[in-house]
Amino acid sequence: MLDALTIFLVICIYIGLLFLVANWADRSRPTGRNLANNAVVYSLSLAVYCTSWTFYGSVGNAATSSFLFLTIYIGPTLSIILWDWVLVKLIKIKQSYRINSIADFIAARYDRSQLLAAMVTLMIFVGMAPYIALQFKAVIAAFEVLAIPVVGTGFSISDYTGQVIVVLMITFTIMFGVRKLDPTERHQGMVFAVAVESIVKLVAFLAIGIFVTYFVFNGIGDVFSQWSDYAGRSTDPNPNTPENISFATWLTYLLLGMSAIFFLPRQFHISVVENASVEHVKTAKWLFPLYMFLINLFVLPIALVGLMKGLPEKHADMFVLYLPLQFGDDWLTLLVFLGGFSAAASMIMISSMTMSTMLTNHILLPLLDFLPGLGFLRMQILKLRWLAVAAVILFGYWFERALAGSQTLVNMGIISFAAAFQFAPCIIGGIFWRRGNLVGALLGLGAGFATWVYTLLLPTFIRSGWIASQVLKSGPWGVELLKPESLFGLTGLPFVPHGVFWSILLNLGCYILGSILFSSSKTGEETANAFVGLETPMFSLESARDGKIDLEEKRQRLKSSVKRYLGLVRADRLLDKAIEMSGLKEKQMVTVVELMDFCSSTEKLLAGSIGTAAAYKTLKSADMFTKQESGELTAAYSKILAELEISPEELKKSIDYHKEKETLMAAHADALEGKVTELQQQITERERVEEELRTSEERYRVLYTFSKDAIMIIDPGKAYINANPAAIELFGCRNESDLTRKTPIDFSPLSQEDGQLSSLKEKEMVRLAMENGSHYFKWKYQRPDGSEFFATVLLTRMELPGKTVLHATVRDVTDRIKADRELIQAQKMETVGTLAGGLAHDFNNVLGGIMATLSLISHKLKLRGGVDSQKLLEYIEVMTQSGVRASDMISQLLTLSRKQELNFAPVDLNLTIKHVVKIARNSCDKSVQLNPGYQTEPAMVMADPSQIERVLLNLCVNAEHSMTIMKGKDQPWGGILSLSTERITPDDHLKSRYPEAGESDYWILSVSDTGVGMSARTIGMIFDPFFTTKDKGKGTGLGLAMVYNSVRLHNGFLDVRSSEGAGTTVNVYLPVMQDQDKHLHVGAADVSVPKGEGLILVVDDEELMRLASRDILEECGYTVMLAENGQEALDIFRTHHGKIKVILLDMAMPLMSGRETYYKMKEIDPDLRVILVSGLKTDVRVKELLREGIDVFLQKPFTIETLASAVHQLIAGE
Amino acid sequence: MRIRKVISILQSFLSRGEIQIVLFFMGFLLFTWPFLGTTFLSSIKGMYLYLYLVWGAIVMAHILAGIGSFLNKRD
Repeated sequence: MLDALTIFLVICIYIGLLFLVANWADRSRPTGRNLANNAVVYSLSLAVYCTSWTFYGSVGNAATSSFLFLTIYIGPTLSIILWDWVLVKLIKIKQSYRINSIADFIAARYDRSQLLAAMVTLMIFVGMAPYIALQFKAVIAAFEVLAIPVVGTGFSISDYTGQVIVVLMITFTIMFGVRKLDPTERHQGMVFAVAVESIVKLVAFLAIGIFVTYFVFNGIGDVFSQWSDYAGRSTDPNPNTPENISFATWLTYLLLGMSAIFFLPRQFHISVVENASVEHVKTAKWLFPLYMFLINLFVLPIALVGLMKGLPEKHADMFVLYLPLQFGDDWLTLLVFLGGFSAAASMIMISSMTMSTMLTNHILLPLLDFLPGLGFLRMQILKLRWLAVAAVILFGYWFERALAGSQTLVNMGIISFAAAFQFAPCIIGGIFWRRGNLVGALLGLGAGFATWVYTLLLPTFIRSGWIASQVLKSGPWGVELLKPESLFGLTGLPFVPHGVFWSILLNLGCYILGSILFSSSKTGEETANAFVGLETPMFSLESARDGKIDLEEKRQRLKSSVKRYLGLVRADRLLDKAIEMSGLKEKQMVTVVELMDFCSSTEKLLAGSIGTAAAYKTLKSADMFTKQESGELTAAYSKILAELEISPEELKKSIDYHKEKETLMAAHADALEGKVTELQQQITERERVEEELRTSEERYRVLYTFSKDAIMIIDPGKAYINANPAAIELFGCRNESDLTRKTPIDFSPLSQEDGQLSSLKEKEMVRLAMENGSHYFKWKYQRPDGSEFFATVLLTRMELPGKTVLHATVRDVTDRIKADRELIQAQKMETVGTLAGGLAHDFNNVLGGIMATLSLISHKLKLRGGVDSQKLLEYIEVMTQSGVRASDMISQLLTLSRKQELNFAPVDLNLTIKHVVKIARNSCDKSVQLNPGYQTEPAMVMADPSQIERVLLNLCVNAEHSMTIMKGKDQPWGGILSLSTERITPDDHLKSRYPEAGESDYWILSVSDTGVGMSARTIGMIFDPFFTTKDKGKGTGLGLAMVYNSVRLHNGFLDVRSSEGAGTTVNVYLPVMQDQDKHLHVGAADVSVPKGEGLILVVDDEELMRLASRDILEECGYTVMLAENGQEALDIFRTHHGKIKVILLDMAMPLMSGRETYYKMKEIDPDLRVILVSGLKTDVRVKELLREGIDVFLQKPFTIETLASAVHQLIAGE
Repeated sequence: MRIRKVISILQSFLSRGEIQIVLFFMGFLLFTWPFLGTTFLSSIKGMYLYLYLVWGAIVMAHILAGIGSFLNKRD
C-alpha cells in the first residue's frame, strides 16, 4: 500500500503529463502537423467507451453475472460492421452542417428545433450525470483501497480525494476542451490526451491480467481447471454460470451495447464531432474492436482468481487492485490505479465538455433570449461554458456523494445506456427515413424518455429509498397496469429488459406515427432530403477515391450534345482538349470530382464558341451525372467544405470572389496570350535574323580571312583597326599588330604618281569616301622594306555602333600596271619604229636641204666671191625651216623614246593638238589633209603630256592608215583627218553608256577620219592587244590597246563611232582639270626681238651653242661672257657676279651639272637671274629648279626672238 | 507478395456490403440463443472459449477488411 500523499503526487504528475501531451498536440495543429488528425489516435480515442465501469465494473460483473458484461463490448463489435452506413453518414452530415453535439445533430435534422435540442440536452444531463458519478465513485474507491491513511494529525488527505479530482477534472476539461470557441468544436489536445489514456488503461489491464493469469496461475487453462475444482467444492450458490443469464437480459444488453457505441453522448462526440477524416473510420473499424477484445481478455480470469483467492464478492470491482496488493506488487497496483484513473478521467472530461456545449447552446442561450435582462451574457459564451463544465462535474460528484453507499450507482451504468438508446429511433430514422419529422421526433423522444424514467429510473430511486415504494408495488394511484416494473401487465421480463422494451417500443411507435400523421415543414423536408440523400458512404467513398466512372461513356454522352453546335470533328477536338485540360488524358476510369472537372472544362471551352448561357444549357441537357454520382459529388464537396472549416455562405463568397478573379485572370491571360504570340513571332523573327546574321558573318569571315585582296578597317583620318591575312602579307608585315595602329600614310611614299603629296591626297580620298559612301581610286604604296606597289583601293563607309569607319579593299595591280607599261612601251617602240622610218626619211630630207643650200652658198662664194644678200636671206630661211623641222623631229623622238612614267601636269589639249599636228604633217601621207580645231579657252586636263601626245598621235596614225594603206588597191588614197576639243557635262545618257563617267565635266579630244571605217564587231575588238585589221607586217595590234590603257590611267574613257565605208570618229574623254592655275609655258613662241644691254654669262658645254648664243646676244646689244662648264662659270660668277645681269645656264653638263652650278651660284648671290636651257621638254630637274628660283626655261633649240625676249623680260623685270 | 495477395482478396471480399450485412446478422445470431444455449456452452470454460473465439473471429474479419487499406496507405 502507498501513502495517500504519494498517490496524490502520482495523480498530479500523471495529470501534468497529460497536460503536457495535450498542450503539445494543440500546438502542433497550427504548424500543419495535426497530431489528432491521425487514424490511430482517432481509433484509440474511441476507447473512451471503456470507462472505469470497464476497468472495475466488468470484473465485478464477471464475478457476479458471468459473461453478461461481454455484451457491452460484443454489441459495439457487431455495430461496427454497420459503421460504413451509419457512422460515416453521421460524419458527413456533421461536416456539412457543422454539428457540434448529439443534441445539435437531432435538432439540425428536425427543423432546427430548439425545443427538441433542449429536450435531448435534458435527457442527456439526467442520463449521464449518474454515469459521471460512477466514475468519481470508482476513483475514490480505488484511492481508498490503495492509500494508507495518514493518522495522528487529525487530517486525512483521502477525505479530499474527490474534491481534488473534481478540481483537476474541471481544470483539465476547461483548458483543453473549452479554452476557446472553435467553430468545428474539435479539440485536438483533448482527443490526443484521451488516446494516451486509452493506451495507459489497456497496458494496465493487460498487465494485471497477465500477472494474475500467468504469474499467479499457469495460464487461462489452469485458471478454469482450478475454478472447476473450486466451484465444485463451493457451497455458495454460484450465479456465475451461463444458464443463469436470461435471454432477454442478454439480448437487451447486447442491443444497448450496439446502440451505446453510436448514441452515448461521449461516443457521439468522439466518433462524429471530433472526427477529422472519414478515412479514419476504416482504421477504427478494426483497431477499436481489437482494443475492446484485448481489454476484456482477462476480465473473467481476474474475477475467477479473485474469488478463488477468497476476496469478497461484494468488492469484486476492486479485484484488479486487491490482487496485486495481495501479492505485494505496489508498482503494479499503482499502474492499475492509474489505468482506472485514466478510464474515469477520460469519460468525465469528454462527457462534461460535450454536455457543457449542449447546456450552453440549447438551454442557456435560449433562456437568455427569453430573459432580456440577461442578454449581456451572450457575449460571455465561453465563460458560460466554463461554468457549465464545472456544473456538470460538480453535479456528478454530488450525485456520487449522495448515492455513495448504495448499489444504485452500479446499476446506473446500464440505465444510462438505456437512456442513450432512446436517441436511436430519431437518429436512425433521421438519416434513413425521409418521412421522419419534428413531431415524430418530439413524440418519440418524449414517450421514450418518459417511459425510461418511469420504468428504469424511478424503480432505481425507489430501491435506493429516495422515493416511497408504493408506486413500485401497486402502481401510481393503485393502477396495477401502470406498475413500473410490469407495465401494462407485462411480466417475466427482467428489470432492464422490461424498461428498455417499453421505452423503445413507445419511442419508436410515437416517432413513426407522429411522422406519418403529421407532415414536415418545407425546411424539414429539405433537411430530410439532404440527410437521407447522402448516399452510402462506403460505396461513394470508394467510387470517389478509385474512379469507377467510365470516361469514354461520359465523353460520348457529351459529344452528342456538343456536336449539335460544333459538328462532329470540332466536337471531338473540343472534348479532347477538355480532357487534356482536366489532366485526364491517360485515364479510362475517373472519379466523380474528375468528371465534374471534365464537364467544367468542356463548358468553358464551349462557352468560347457559343456563349456561356448556351454552353451551360448544353451541359445541363447532357445530363452527365446519375443520381448516385450527384450524391457523391455533393458528399465530396461537403467534405471539402468541412475540411476548409468554413460555412457554406463563406464558401460561396469565396467562390464568387475566386470566380471573379478567374474571369479577370482569364481576360488578362487572353491579353497576355496575344502578347505572348506577338513575342513568339518576334522571337522567331529574331532567331531567323540572328541565323542570317550568323550566316552572313560566317560568309564575311571566310571572305575576310581567305580573300586574296587586302581588307582593312580604317578609323577615318587615323589608323588601321583591323587587317586580314592578305593585307598583312601585301604590306610586308609580320603580323596584324605591325599593320594596325599605323596609318595609310605610313605605308605610302612622299608623293603619288600624279605628283600629289600622299598626305594631302589621302585626306581627299577619305573625304570623298565619307561624303559619297564609297570611293574608288588608285594608290601607290610603300612597304616597310622600301619596295613599292600599285593598288586599286575601294573605300566604303561603314556605320558601326558609336562610330563610322572605312572599309578598305586593296588590290595589288603592280603586275597589271607593269604589263600596261610594257604594253605601252612595246607600242611606243612600234610607234617609234613606225615613226623612225618616216622620221629618218624626213630627217634626210631636212639634212639634204641644209647641205644642199650650204654647198650652193659655198660654191657661189668660191665662184663669184659673194652672194646676193636677197638670195642669201632666202638660203638662210630655207636652212632655218629645215632646222626647225629637224628640231621637231628630235622632239618627237625624245617624246617617243622616253620610258613610261606618269608625270601628271596641267596640259592644254589645244597645244597638244598643235604639236601633234606638226608631227603628223611630217609623218603623214601627203594625200591626207589635216584639219585641226582649237578652243578659244585653254582645254586644261591633268595628264602626262607625253602620254596624251602619244595617244593623239596613235589615233592620228590609225586615222591616216584608214585613209591610205588600208584602202583597197583600186581605191585612191587620201581623206580628211580632223582633230578638235569640246567640253561637256556628263548627262544620264552618257553615264548609262559609260558608268565610269564621273560627275565633273570632261574635255573630249576628238579624232575623226574619212577612211574605210569599221564594223560594229571590229569596234568591239579594236582595244584588244594584238588585234589589228591591217595586213601582216603593217601593224602589231598594240596601238589602240596602249591608247585604251593610257586613257584609263588618266581616269578617262573612249568612245568610238564608225561604220564601214563612212570613216571613224574616236572621242577621248578626259576629266577637266579642276584647278586651272598657272602652268608651265613650254616652248611658247614670241616673234619680237627686243634689244638691251648688260653683261650676260652663257654657260654651255656645247661650243656651237655657246657661240650661237653669244652671237644672238651681241646682236641684241648685250655683252657676253662664255663658260664651257660649271666650274668655269662659277669662277667667272664669283668675280663678276655684281655685273652679270643674266646667266644663260645649260641643264645637262658634265662634271658639274647646271643644277649644281645654280645652287653654288645662288650661295654667292641669292638674287641671281637665270635662264635655264635644255633639250628636254619637261624634266623633274627643271621643275625642281623652277621651284628653287630659276626664272625662265628655254627649250633648245631656241630662236633669236625667243632668247632675246626671255633676256629682255628678265632684265626689265628687275 | 502471396500473403499480401491473399489479404487483398479477403479484404475485397469482406469489404463488400452484402458480406458485411451477412456478417452482422451471423454475428448477432452467434451471440444469442439458440447457439448460446447448447450443452457445450453450459460450462464457463466452454462459454469463454466460444465467446472469445467467435468474438476474435469477428475482430479478425474487421482487421482483414480494414488492414489492407491501412497497409496500402503506409506504402
